[in-house]
Amino acid sequence: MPQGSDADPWALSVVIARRMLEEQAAALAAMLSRLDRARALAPSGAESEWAGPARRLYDAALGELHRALSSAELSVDAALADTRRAIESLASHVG
Amino acid sequence: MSDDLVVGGGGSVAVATVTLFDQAQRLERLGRDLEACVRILGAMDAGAASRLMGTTGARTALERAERGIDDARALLGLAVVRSGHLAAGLQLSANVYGAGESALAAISERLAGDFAAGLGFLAARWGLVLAPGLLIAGSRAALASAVASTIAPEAARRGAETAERWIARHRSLLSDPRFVQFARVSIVSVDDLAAGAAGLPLPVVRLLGDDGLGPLGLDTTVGAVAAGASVFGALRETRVRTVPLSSAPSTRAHGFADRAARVPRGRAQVRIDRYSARGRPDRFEVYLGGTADFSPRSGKEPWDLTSNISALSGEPSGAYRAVVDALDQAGVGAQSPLVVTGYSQGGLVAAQLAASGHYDVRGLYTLGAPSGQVDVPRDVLWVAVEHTDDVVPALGGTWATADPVLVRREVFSDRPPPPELAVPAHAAAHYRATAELIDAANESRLRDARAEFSAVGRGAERVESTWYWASRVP
Repeated sequence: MPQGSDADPWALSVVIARRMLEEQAAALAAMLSRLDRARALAPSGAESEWAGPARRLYDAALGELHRALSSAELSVDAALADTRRAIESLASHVG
Repeated sequence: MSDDLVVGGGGSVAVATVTLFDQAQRLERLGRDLEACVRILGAMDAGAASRLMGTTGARTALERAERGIDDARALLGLAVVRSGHLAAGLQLSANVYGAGESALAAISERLAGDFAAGLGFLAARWGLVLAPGLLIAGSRAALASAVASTIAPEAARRGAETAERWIARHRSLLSDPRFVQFARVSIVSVDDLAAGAAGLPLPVVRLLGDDGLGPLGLDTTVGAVAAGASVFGALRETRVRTVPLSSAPSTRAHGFADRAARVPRGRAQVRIDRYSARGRPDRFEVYLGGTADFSPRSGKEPWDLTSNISALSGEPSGAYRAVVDALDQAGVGAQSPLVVTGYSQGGLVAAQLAASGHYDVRGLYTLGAPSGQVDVPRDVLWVAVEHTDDVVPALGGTWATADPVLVRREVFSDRPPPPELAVPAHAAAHYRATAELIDAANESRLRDARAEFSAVGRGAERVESTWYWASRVP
C-alpha cells in the first residue's frame, strides 16, 4: 500500500478496491466449502420401509431442497469467478 | 433382518424410526447452517468496490458478482424455509403416528376387555350346558386313542408325529408381530374373561378392571393361577440362598451394547459392578440374566417359571429376593446410585427393583422383559428394548403407567424365523445386536439416556465385578 500524503488517489483507490475484492473472493471461497459441508447434511431419502404418498411427497421435497442448494452453490461459484475476473481486471489497470 | 429401530415414549408422544428422527435432526442443523450462510452473504457489500475510483473497467464483472451473491442469498433463504418445513413435517408425522398408536392401543385394550368379558360370560354358561356331552366325547376320544395305540401303535405314533409337525410348521405364528400384539392386548384381558365367566355385568367388569378402580388386573389373575397351581405342587415359591461366586477387576460400562454383553449367561444369575473413587460413595451397576428353568415345578433354580409367574402377579419372586440379597451383600443401600440392566425375567426383576422405591435407581435398561404392567415411576430413566416378533415381552401386557423410552425392532422382517426355536427373536444374541444399533443411533432420547447411564460411573478409579449365584432352598 502506498504510504504518505503524495500517494496517487486513483492508484490508492484501485489498491483498496482490489483488497476489498480479494477479501470478498476469500469469503466466497469459504462459503463454497461451507455449503459443500452443509449439503452433506441434507438427507438424500429415507432408507426405510416407509412407503406411500407421504413418502413420495417427502422425497420430492428433498429433491427440491437439493436443487435449491445446488443452484445456490452455482451462484456463489459464479460470483467468485466474477470477483476474480474483477481483481484481474484491476491488476491489469494498475499495471 | 431390519436394522431400523422404532423409538417412542420417554415423555414424548413422537414415535418413528431412528432414521427419520436422524433426518429431522439433520434437516434442523442444515437449516441453522444455511441461516448463517444467508447472514454472511447479506453482510457482503459487493457493490462497494464498484463505487471506488478506477474500477470502471471491472464494473461488469463486479455487477455480475453482486447479482450472483444476491441470487445465492435468495436460494439459500428458500432452502432454509424448505429444510425447516421438512424437519417440522417429520416431527409432526412422528407425533401424529405416536398419538394414533396410543389411541389405537387404548381402543384395542378396551375392546379386547369387553370381548373377553362377553366370551367368559358365554363360555361359562355354554360350559354348563355342554359339559356332560364334552365329558362323554372326551372320554370316548381318550378310549379310542388308547385302543388305537394298543392295536395299531404305528398309526398312533404317526398321528402324534403329524401333530408335532403341525405345531412346528405353525410355530412361526409366535413370531408374527400381529400375533405378538394380539397376545399383548389379550393377556391384560384375562381378568375381564374371568370376571365375565363369574357372571359380572360389563359395567362392573370395567369398574373393577385396570382402567377402573383396579382390584382386578393381570396381577390378580396370574396370582389366582399361581395359587391354584400351588395346590398341585406347581409354581410354589420357596426361600432362596445367594452366594458370591467370584470377583474380578473390571472397567466402566460404556453404552447399551456393552451393558447387554455384561448380562450373566453362565451359572451366575447376577453380576454387580462396584464403582469406587476416593472421597465419594460407591456407585453400582447390576446385571440380571433371563429365565434358566421353564419347569412349572420349583427346583433349585430361582430364575424359573415360578419366579416369572410370581413376578407377573406382583409378588416378590425367588429371583427378586435373590437379587435383593445380592445387593445387600454388595453393600448397595437406599442412597447408592444404581443402574440396573436385565434381560427377559432379569428385566422384569430390574423393573420391580426400580418400582420398589427402596433403591436410588438412576437408570433402568431392560431387554425383552415382560414388564409392561410394572409401575416404574416416571422419573426413573428407563430404556426398554423389545423385538416386535418376540412374544415374551408381550406376556407382560400393555404399558400401564410407566413411560419408558421404548426401542422396538423386528428381527425377522426379511426372512422367516428359524423353525427349530420356539421364540427365536427372544434370543439374547439378537438383543445384543439391537443394543449395538442403539449405540449407533443418532436419536436425542437415546443419546441423553446413554449420557445419563454413563454419569453414574463417571470418575470411578476402580471397578470391581462380583458374580452371584442363587439357589432355591426347599
